[in-house]
Amino acid sequence: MNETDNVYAYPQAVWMRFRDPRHAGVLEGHDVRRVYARTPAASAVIELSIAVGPPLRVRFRAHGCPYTIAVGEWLAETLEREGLADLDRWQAGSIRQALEIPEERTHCALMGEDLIRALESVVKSSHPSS
Amino acid sequence: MPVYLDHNATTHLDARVLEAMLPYLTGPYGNASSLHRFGRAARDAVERAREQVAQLVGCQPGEIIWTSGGTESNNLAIKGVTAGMAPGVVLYGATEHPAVMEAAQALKLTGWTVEPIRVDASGRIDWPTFEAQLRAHRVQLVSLMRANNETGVIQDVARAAGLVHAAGAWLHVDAVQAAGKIPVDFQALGADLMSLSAHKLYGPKGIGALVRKAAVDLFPLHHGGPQERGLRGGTENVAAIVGFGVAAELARQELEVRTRHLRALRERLEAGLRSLPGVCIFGADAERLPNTVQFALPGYDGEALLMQLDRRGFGVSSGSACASGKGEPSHVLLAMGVPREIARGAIRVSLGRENSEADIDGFLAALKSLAAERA
Amino acid sequence: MIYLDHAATTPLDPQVREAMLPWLDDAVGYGNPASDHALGRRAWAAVEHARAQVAALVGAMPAEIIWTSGATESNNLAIKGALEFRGHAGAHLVTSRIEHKSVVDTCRHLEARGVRVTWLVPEANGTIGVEQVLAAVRPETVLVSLMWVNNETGAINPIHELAPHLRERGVLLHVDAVQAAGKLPIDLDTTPIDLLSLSAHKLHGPKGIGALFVRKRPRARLAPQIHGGGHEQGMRSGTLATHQIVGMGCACALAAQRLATDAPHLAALREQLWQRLRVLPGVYRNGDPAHSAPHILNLSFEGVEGESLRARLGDLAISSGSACSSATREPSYVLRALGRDDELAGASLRFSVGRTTTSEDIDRAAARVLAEVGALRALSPRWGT
Ligand SMILES: Cc1ncc(COP(=O)(O)O)c(C=O)c1O
Ligand SMILES: Cc1ncc(COP(=O)(O)O)c(C=O)c1O
Repeated sequence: MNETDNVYAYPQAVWMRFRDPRHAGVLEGHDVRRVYARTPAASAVIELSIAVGPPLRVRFRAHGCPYTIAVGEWLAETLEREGLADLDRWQAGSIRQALEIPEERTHCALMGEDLIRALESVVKSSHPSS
Repeated sequence: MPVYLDHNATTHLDARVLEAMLPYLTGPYGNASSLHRFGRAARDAVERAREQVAQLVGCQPGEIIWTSGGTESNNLAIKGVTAGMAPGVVLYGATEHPAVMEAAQALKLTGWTVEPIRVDASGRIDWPTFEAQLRAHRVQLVSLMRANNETGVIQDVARAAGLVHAAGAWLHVDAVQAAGKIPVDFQALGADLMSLSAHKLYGPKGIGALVRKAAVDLFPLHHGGPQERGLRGGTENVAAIVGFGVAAELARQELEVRTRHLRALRERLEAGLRSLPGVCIFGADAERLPNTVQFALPGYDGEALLMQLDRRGFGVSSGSACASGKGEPSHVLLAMGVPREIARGAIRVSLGRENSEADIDGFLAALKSLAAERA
Repeated sequence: MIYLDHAATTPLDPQVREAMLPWLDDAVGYGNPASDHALGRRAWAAVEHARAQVAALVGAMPAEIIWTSGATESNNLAIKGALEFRGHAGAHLVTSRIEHKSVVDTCRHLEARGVRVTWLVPEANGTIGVEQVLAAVRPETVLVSLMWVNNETGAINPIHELAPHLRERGVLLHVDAVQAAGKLPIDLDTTPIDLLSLSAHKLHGPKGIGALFVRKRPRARLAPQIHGGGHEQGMRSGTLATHQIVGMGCACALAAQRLATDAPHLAALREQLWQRLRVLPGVYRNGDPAHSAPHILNLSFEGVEGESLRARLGDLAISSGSACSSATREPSYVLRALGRDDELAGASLRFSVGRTTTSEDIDRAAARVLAEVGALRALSPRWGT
């Protein structure tokens, strides 16, 4: 598979992550937290598993359109790189911008935001000190 | 090789146009409405052609709707605009192509009033009558041709546009014969809708366009399918569209050269014709297309002349290349007040790029010898 | 790229292309078929030869073939033309929900103008039954418009059985035979169909040319939809595109010659593809193979999302039922009528094989589908848990 197979012209940032997700999978273990987000009719789902570590590890699974899958991959990769601090700065808008998600697919970015909010509350409840 | 002098009926396909079309005749290039890669390549080609045609006629690419030819464009304009309106009044020039006249006449079934606009002896709009018609009725649509297919007479469409718009109506312009022969500018003409056909400008047969201002509400003639934003269903004829685009591009680049060549040939032809006793050239006083002469030799059997010319290898016609009405005198000439017996013998010569002085001289010689035989 | 979208359009056959080229030629290929001089008459003769070739494919008389710009126009002309000729007032029309958009939209347009329309719904096998149609017919029914073969599933409607019943009742029958021609034998001499639509580009002919069969005896009468010039017996005006028409004639002649070999070849390729793919769990065949045209296989894949599946199969030219996949499609009514929910209807792929498809193409395509369905399922938290 190569670049030219992006025949439906998804944004490059979406296509790369959809085509070759590096963080697909599920984590197991006592330090693993799992969060989910879905669209109202549950036609699309993203799941994140986070091993708080150290080292911090994040994996995702997703069912949905290429944007949904790319959002899962992008969250996993960005969380691993930037850690769990300052989660409140993550918004649907910034996810849309990073992946060039078009207006009519905003719901995919909103699922990303839902995941971060869910993660915030999980992190808060399990790490009262942070 | 016969000498072809019937370019207003159809032109040959320019070899450069054919070359551009060939890749799209070798499959599988897909259905331009399909989403896979073959389909996308086809779609890009269709959009490029839209720009090329838009450049030739001074409109926006988004204003172009592909059709199967000038006949469909005229039908789409007239029926498509009126379909959404309460029945009112449509006016069309008395010398319009049958596609306009018959499409307009068909509206009568749905309660519309349809009236021709008179022309003078030279085939130009009779302005006082036209203005009176616009005052007398609540006119919704006026259809006028930029240039006539038989006589080549050019209408002052821009002048008409001012009147039509002041009366609150839309103006449709049949520019099928004008495009590629004289400059055509959708904007400057003040048209709201304009018909084009590729095979009159060295493009392929079976493809045309309707130019439409976005402000004009249009209803489709062919329902079904998303093509042309729902205004014209049917799988796109990609090769022909590409051919139309290239033909338009070439016409734009070469317009001046072509016009100069055609005008010189026509002057030679008319000078020769004038030496024949009694010859009458229709619309001679009006501004005309550089390639068209329609004439009659009163006192000669015009139909016999046509047949004899054909046998001697000269392809000319009596007027419009229609499938019906053979033997009926031209409605164009009758509208100009030409007597029936003269109109019946009319001969139209329409020149093209590949014609030469030798063709003209040969034609004149043949005509003279035939006229002498028959005299 | 493996091309398995022959129900959308087919590549031009090299022989058809050769037949067309002289009519695109700079030196001799012009002349307006309506012009009365040597070049015009030459073009006219070519047009009439092609008319006979198209007529022969479907068992019609040449004078019963009217040229159009494609089947979209043929369908519009047949339906609007018949109803307009009869007069809209009080008229009734029977059609189905699984027709091509050009029929559906035309009937909707007439419905908005006061024509009563009965919309039939397919039975569990995806076809419209004879009894269903006959039960919908009323004294004021003018026309039944039904496709012979459905373009999404390949389902074959029982046109042979239906036609004599409608003739008996004096109701016109229009058949959209775009997907049937060249795939199933059609003999209008013995099948009392009144109007029949054809398109060249589904038969390895050029795009932008089609035909409508209009029966002479008993005569089916239509009001023209494109006026001006009186071409095609007054039923369809406009300069005839000689090269296109010659191409359609040649394509139909080839289709007639090859029908006996093409149909089993296509069916074998389609079955090979099904055999390769049925090993997957959660794959459903849409449509009943016993009532299906040989070239179409429509499958739904459980546990994957349609748009993602299509996106990962960018190297296959296929059609997909995914709702957002294609601006041109609404979620498939046809598949929902077959009992698929929206999700399965969305996660469907239509494979359509053609004359030039090879057994290797099928194996490669099947391997790609297996791989990508597998990859998406592995990614999905909903599959297998
Ligand atoms: C002035 C005019 N309008 C319309 C047409 C019809 O165009 P087409 O031949 O593409 O249907 C013609 C040509 O026949 C014409 O001369
Ligand atoms: C069943 C059916 N009818 C009609 C059409 C329309 O044909 P065309 O593309 O020639 O307008 C198609 C193809 O798109 C079709 O599959």
